[in-house]
Amino acid sequence: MMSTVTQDPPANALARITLRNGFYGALLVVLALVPLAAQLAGAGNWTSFATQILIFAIAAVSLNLILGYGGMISFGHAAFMAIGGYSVGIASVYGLNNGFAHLAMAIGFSALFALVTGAIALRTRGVYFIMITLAFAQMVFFAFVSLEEFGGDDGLTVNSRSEFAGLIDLEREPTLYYTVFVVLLATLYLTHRIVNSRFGWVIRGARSNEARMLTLGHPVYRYRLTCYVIGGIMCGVAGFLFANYANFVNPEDAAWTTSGELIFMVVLGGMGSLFGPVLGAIVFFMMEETVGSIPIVGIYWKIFFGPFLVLVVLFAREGIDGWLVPRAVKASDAALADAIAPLARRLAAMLIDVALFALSAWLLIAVLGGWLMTLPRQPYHQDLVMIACVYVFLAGILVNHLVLPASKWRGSAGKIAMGLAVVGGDGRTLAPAQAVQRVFGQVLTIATALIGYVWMVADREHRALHDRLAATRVVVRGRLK
Amino acid sequence: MKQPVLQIKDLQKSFGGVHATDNLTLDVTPNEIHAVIGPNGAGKTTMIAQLSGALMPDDGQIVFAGRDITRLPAYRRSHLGLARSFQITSVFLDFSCLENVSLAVLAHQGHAFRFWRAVRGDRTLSDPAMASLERVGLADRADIRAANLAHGEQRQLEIAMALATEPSFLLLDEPMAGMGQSESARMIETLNTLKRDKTMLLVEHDMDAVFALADRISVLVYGQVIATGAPDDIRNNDAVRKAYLGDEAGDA
Repeated sequence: MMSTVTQDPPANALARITLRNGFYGALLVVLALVPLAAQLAGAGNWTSFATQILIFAIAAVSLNLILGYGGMISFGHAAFMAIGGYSVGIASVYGLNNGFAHLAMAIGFSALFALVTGAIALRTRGVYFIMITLAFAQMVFFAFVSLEEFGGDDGLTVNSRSEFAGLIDLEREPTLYYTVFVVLLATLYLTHRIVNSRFGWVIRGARSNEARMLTLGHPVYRYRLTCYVIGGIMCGVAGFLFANYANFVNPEDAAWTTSGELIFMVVLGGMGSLFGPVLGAIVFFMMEETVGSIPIVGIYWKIFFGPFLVLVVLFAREGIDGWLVPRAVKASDAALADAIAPLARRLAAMLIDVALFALSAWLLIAVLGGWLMTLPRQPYHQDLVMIACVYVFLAGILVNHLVLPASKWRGSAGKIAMGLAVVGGDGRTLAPAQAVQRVFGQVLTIATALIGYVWMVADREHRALHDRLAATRVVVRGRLK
Repeated sequence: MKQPVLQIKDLQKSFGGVHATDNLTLDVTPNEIHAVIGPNGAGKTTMIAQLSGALMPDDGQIVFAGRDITRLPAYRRSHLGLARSFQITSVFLDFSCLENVSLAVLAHQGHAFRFWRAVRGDRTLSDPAMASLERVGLADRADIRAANLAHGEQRQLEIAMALATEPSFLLLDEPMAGMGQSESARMIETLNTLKRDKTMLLVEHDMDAVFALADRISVLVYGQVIATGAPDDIRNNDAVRKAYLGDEAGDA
């Protein structure tokens, strides 16, 4: 039977799972396997790195409840991290290592702080709310800086991790990781229940139109305050976990830069989406880790993160989560079915592209950058030269993956070499916006531990995540009618 | 004459030097449609805002159903049976029609400090919400996002939301604003069917609608009521003619 439907027909139960849910499901499976993979690969620091990501994911999810669902732009969310953290730190100074007590204090103090500061801050709107939440967080920051007996601005070492009466041994890295993972799952589930409950609807309605909610008879203030307290408690728990992870607490945990990073994660992942902040946290730390590991320029990784965030805000207002809604495929795909590129040829094209990257990265950064820096007299700042080299490299990637596919060559250098082409659903050359979407999709495919390529193998038309997102197909040039 | 259900006494509100509401006194009796007309800037929306609690008056008194509500917060007034529709369409654009009205039902059912059970599929919310949509003829649009509705439908949705709080009194701020003729006719029909059990204070520019619906009309000029009476009396009132003609002459 000829197919003229606009979407892929749901061939089986698996196909009916939406791209978004499938992706998040796969992500959770990968996260669940991290310690195992780390052990197999003999890379113990993977678990530690992933623990840090997930703790910040919990904090970002909690901020999303306030910011994304509640529309309250808090610029002081990190205060709760510090309050949760110091609940562990200060208690252990006094020899109190009981985890239940730590947790109770983290929750109690976070709730109290949220209740008092929220009650004041929520009387303001807009920029005033942003500034007053920032001010309260800075107050916490300076309070911990001034507490000399608890380390002052040097921070405080936590000598032993919270003890849970022998039930959970947080000193073991995998146990700590799975504890954090379970807390994250619980936070996500709780958030899911809350935002779909009556309470959640009032919160979301108030974000959409506060005046209308008041006129309908909803006392918006007390709902917002409750929401603020719930979000604060969740983040306080993240702070409790972070102190256990780092064995260290620091006033910096409450600093405005930390609050800003949490906002980054939420915006990057997608405000008001359940899993978005988790993705935001993963991509944030992955970028910090990958770009940050480049010699010299690494410490300036935020110079690259900044433009990336600008692009996200410009092209994907709903963050990464928003990209996971695929473009509708308009035309029939029957005409393209015969031309779909075999996996082996795609793999070869990919290898050529990767080889090109490696070569140009080596030439630009190691050879050219290295040579520039050995020059005896330098009228310029060394680091700036390296940053410029990295930007030239990134520009090269964009030409190869954005400009070339949207041009008459219809593909990256590797695909051109292998006689392949990227086409839209109707067999046409990509529109610039579609090419942009595909590049974002590729970032996503790669930044989340290559999960996106799973689709390429499973999909009948060998479409990877980015192909599905941008409604593109990779075909053999010669077989295209 | 019946006891008025809403009494406005010497209401005052100024913004800087502008007296938007200036010694405004007005009575609305049960089950009447009381229209308030007046030239642009006469203070009609300011009056509605003070009645609904969005603005607090500087001075004067508002008595609703025998109770002084002058300083009562907006959300409390809704629970006394006072509902408002907005001049500028004020629905929740990213929610569906049914969800919009469900938010109104939610308000009517008391507090919403329930954190666990999902709203979607909750018949105690969706049934009354659906009933409200049916009353304004939007039942077949229940699952459409409010942002995707035609303008006239959004105005109907406004009314459905106001109705869902089961009010005894409706404050309608230009329900026909921006509507075409057929849409207006439909709205007039909707409001006429509501007349049986609701009292309405109707601010409207569409004179055909006003004369088709109103039992009494008050004319507001510079924040003051210059005349109140039956539609025919108002049509023939000299002061009203002067206010309107003067206004038109000023425009030209």
